[in-house]
Amino acid sequence: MLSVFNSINNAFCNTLGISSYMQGVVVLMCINIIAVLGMSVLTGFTRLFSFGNAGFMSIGAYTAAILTVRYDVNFLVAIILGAIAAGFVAFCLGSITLRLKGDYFLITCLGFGECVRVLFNWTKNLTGGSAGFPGIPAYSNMLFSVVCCILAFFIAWRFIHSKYGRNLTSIRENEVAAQAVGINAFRTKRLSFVFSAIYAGWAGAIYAGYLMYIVPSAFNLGKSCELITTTVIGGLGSLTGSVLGAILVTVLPEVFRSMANYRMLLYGIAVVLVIMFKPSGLYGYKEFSLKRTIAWFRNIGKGKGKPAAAEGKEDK
Amino acid sequence: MFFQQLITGISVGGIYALLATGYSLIYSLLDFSNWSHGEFAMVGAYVAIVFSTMLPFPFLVAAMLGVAGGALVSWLTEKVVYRRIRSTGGPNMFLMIGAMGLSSVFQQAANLIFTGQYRSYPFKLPVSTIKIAGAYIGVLDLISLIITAVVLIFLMYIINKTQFGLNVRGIACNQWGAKILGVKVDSCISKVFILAGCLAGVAGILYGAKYNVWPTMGNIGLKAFISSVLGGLGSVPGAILGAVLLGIIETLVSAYVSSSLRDFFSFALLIVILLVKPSGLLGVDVQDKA
Amino acid sequence: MKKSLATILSAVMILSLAACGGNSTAPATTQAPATEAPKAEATEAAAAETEAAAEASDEGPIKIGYVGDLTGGTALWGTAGQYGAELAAKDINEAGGIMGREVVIVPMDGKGDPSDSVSALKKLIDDEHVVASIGTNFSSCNIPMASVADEKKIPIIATAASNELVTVDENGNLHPYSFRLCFIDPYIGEVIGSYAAGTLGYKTAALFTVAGNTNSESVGAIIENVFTSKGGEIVISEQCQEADMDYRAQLAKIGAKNPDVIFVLMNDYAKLATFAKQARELGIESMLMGHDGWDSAQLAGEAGGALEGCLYISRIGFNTPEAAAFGDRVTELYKMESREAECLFTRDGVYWIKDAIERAGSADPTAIRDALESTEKFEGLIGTLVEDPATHNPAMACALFECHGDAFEYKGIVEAE
Repeated sequence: MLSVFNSINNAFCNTLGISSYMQGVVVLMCINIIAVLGMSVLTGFTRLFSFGNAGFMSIGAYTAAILTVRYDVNFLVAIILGAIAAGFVAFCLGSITLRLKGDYFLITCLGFGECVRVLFNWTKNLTGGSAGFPGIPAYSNMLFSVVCCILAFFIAWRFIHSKYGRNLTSIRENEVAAQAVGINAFRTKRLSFVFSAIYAGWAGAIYAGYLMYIVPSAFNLGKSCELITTTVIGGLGSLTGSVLGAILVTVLPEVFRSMANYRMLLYGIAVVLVIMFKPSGLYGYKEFSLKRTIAWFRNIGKGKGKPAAAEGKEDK
Repeated sequence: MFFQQLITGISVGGIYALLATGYSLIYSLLDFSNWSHGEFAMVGAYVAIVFSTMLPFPFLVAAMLGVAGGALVSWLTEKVVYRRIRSTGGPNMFLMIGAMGLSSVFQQAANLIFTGQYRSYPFKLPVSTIKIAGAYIGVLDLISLIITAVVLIFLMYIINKTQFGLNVRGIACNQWGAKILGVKVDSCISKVFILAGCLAGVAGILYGAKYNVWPTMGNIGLKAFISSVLGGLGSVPGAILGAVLLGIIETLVSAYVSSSLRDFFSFALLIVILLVKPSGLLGVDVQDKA
Repeated sequence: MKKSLATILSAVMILSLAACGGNSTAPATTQAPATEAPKAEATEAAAAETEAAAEASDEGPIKIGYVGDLTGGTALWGTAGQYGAELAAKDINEAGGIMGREVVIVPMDGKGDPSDSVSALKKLIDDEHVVASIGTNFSSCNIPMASVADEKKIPIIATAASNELVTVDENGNLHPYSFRLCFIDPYIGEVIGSYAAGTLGYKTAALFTVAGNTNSESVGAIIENVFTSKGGEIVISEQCQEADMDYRAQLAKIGAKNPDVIFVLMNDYAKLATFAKQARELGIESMLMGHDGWDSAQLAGEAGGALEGCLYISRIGFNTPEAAAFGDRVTELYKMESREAECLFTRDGVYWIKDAIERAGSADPTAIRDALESTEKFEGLIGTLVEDPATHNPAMACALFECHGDAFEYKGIVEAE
């Protein structure tokens, strides 16, 4: 089944002239988008900051890898199980740590991410340790990743615009008031944490199928920091902003790749500039809206610049 | 052997403590984690390297210039970047993200200017050890512990006994209130950053003297962050306590549990401590971010 | 309607980015802004691209890629490799090039990260149309890169990546397009373990490795097996974390067991020196033995006597006059502060490819691959390389070094017993 799957993808890409390098970039983009969508729900809509979501990616990746390689499980099932495993661990961890506030919660998440990495390095028989886990079947071709990405966006959107999503935003705005209205803050936060973990695990599982080889150090603190930075740059409280942020974060290092030695410096400067001059992120707190975009273009013509929130009174 | 491990733990913690002090100072004032604090230390260390190896200055002068360098970069960062971010409103997390970006910029810049080559100061600091009650302790470790203690006393004096310290505490409590009462908030914050930068510079030079100087040496700032959390964010003595405790925990876990899984058990222990004392050991009550 | 609009637009953004990327026929170094490309143009573009790739191997400059860590934590090594390759190319071009054609080195940053290195390699192959690529020195990067090389049929030569899986996959199948310039972990582990137990006659040993470091842990595991099979005993095994600078906790435990020798498998000379100094501070007098991670000109000086009399086994490195001369030229020309062995590896990589092209009579990637595999003997600055067609693992001599005063002295060749 996998070979049929891959040949469909190859046929599609060859007709469009998409090089394998670009396919790789798109797959990485989709992986980042899914992980960042999860972070967006957690950070943008619930205002919880976690520096350990790379650990959930790692759990998702290794679960999917072990299942597909050692137990010959179908890759779709393996990915789902990987995401669920990550969510389950988040449920347990969140139950313990979500009572902590602010930076304390952040540190426990950071610690969790590091613990996962250290543990997977140590369990050589299960995960291959630092030598890595090779031989994962190549199920993450471009089409599949894009489909996953669209599906993830769809689900996240529905979630945010549902009863649960509204609970999240109410906690973000004013936790005490939300509790007064009867929302169980702890349970809602935990739900949001689990959601972000499931998405991170999903992204990790796709990563495993893309590179076909995983090492624990690929999911380190730097990765978690990158997820947070991307979410903030995309705009806290905007799913489309997060998508855009993730695309940018994947594409920027590629754009700079030819300036080999200066790559990371320029990337860091870009981050600082965005946060200094447009801290609400690329999309601010709002979602992408066709009406507002058209109104904006119209107002340029009128020489007014940004429309004074006139047209398109959008629901968030 | 237990006593040796304890001594080792305290000396490791002593190195973290100096960095944690400056870090915690900024936190207690502005309520944000200065992720680039470690890089201020790195800059201080490099400035001292430049003056002592590339230019013929005596080491003590170079060290003072290094401390000044750390203070300068700290002050500049606050003035150019953080002030701007603060003025646009928004959660303190933005300051942290800005700090993260800056940390990367500093590291890359140092890498490009100095290359990843390890640098050392041009003299042999006393690397000898002395024996106390059957345990070895490095002379340099003792020196840094003493310096940390002196700095702490000095800091406590400033914070508790001077007008400046009163202003700082006022701003930490309520920025607007302090402004109304006539405190020059911005200038005060600048001074605190200069102070924190000096502390970072000293930490950087000591660390560089004990080991080496290299572009990513600022990553030790993460330990300072963890120490501050452990000791209680918003409390400078707490940060120092947290740092020493972190050093001891790491060493004892490494010695008696597992050196391979040291970080695993250390973090697990940290989580347990935080569950018992959710605001850290000496912490004041903290509100959620943003 | 709004949400479906948003999802459709996202999908279109992503796909158009991909499609436009495929449009570039000339070697593109920057991405064009996202625009839609009509299908007819795109198919033409695809055809033109494969043509350009074919052209690249027939005339015009010969492009050889180099993937290394140019901006990350080990950028010193990566940039040394880049400069070594570039200097080798310069020398070759001054002598007339390869079969009359100019050699061009195209460096790409891989940050030492597996997925980043894979992207770098793919960009070199798809956009730059390299005929072969050198790098990296990380096994964790080269293992996934090997699959890409096989799929795209472009040979890659790893420099110091020593894990077995780089050239032979986990099922024992050869990666036909993946080669390397160094000995593998099992080999050096064997040499060290048998030398310590056999020639030096040590009975008890401590093993000290870096947790999470592929090379350190796998060599350590081999040494442990070989040492115990020759009658020795590993009395204690400790680890440190990659970023650690303080080893006294572990050293106190090691000291308590008083082993004859401590195998210290670290790759960073400053940390090694610190380890040795802290060991001596704690009163530990045991012999310290290391592997090729000790290979640095600054180690002995940095340790300041703490490593007196200690040994390590590694490649011959800068200890021949030719290698030393090349190393000096690199440091002088590119204003580096010290010699890093990676420049010797990449120089050998470039010359090996040149040798292969000349033997094959063509710069076609598959022809290069066949010529590399059938190499009988290649004399490089690293040593004499004898290729094994079944595993692509070269047989290269190991050398023993002993510390005296401010430097490590070359004592001679050692082999597994």
